[in-house]
Amino acid sequence: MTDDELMERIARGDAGAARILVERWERPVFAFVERMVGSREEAQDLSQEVFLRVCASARRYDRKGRFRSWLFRIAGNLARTSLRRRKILRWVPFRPEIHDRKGGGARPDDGVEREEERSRVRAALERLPARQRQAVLLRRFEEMSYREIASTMKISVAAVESLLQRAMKALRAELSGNGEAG
Amino acid sequence: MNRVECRRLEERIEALLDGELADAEQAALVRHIGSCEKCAAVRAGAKRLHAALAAEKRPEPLRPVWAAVGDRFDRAIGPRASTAFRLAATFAAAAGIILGLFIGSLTGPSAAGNEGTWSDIGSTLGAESGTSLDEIYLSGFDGESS
Repeated sequence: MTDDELMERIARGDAGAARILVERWERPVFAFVERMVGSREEAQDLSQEVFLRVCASARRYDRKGRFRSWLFRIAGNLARTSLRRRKILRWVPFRPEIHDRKGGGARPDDGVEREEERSRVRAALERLPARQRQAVLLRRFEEMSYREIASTMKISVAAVESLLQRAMKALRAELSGNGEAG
Repeated sequence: MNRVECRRLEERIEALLDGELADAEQAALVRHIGSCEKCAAVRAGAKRLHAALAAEKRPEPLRPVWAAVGDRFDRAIGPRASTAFRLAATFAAAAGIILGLFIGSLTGPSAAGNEGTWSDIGSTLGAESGTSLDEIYLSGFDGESS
């Protein structure tokens, strides 16, 4: 059953369809949100909120086969709102590398160098501006095309390329150790 | 080294590696990389970063998301139908009362007989449209935040 068909059923109050949809998408949504906000507990709460909003909006969902874009738009908006709130409250930025990362930490057979590189990549990703980070996550982890990212973020394809170019340049600089930001 | 080409490569390396360029531009940049060590290094660095990101393990949910969503599904999806029904019923009741009052005013003996009518209407509407804040929040949501 397609996502659009499930959404149609959810709009009619079918909890079984909602469960299928949630279980189909919870892992990518959680991963995306976790990488956006850098906190597993917060990502868990935000993921639940994403799906509640999906269900609550099911009757108004526009069936065009673009469920993924719509879903990640909701997730991205919630994550960015959460980041803004955190900034306003002047919370200390969350540092995932010094917190418990069950399932995200080093494997016993990992080389130290590789793990160090991963840690640097994670930290560098976290330092990117939220919109650049969102574009990178959608491209590199969700493997969206530039057009799909543009639809998700409601920006032009040229703006997507610009966000990605600046973000990846900054990440390359971090990895090469010269800290030059693009 | 061709500075114009080097600059273009620098600006479009991600689109090049992501296959988002037009064929002609892609071919021109690939040709340039073949003759420019600096740009070949830029491409190698970009590829290395892609590989490092691809090696990142995907974080997994702490708990199944449905466990929490399922408990609140009826509230999320249900209230809209019942709110719409309640609103329709409220309007129908209000229309009936107003019509009744109108007919009563035409046929009744005096205005004094209608004392308290408006407060009755108010309490009727209040009782029938007792919508909770949660219902208002969910029914008004358009799927996006600010």
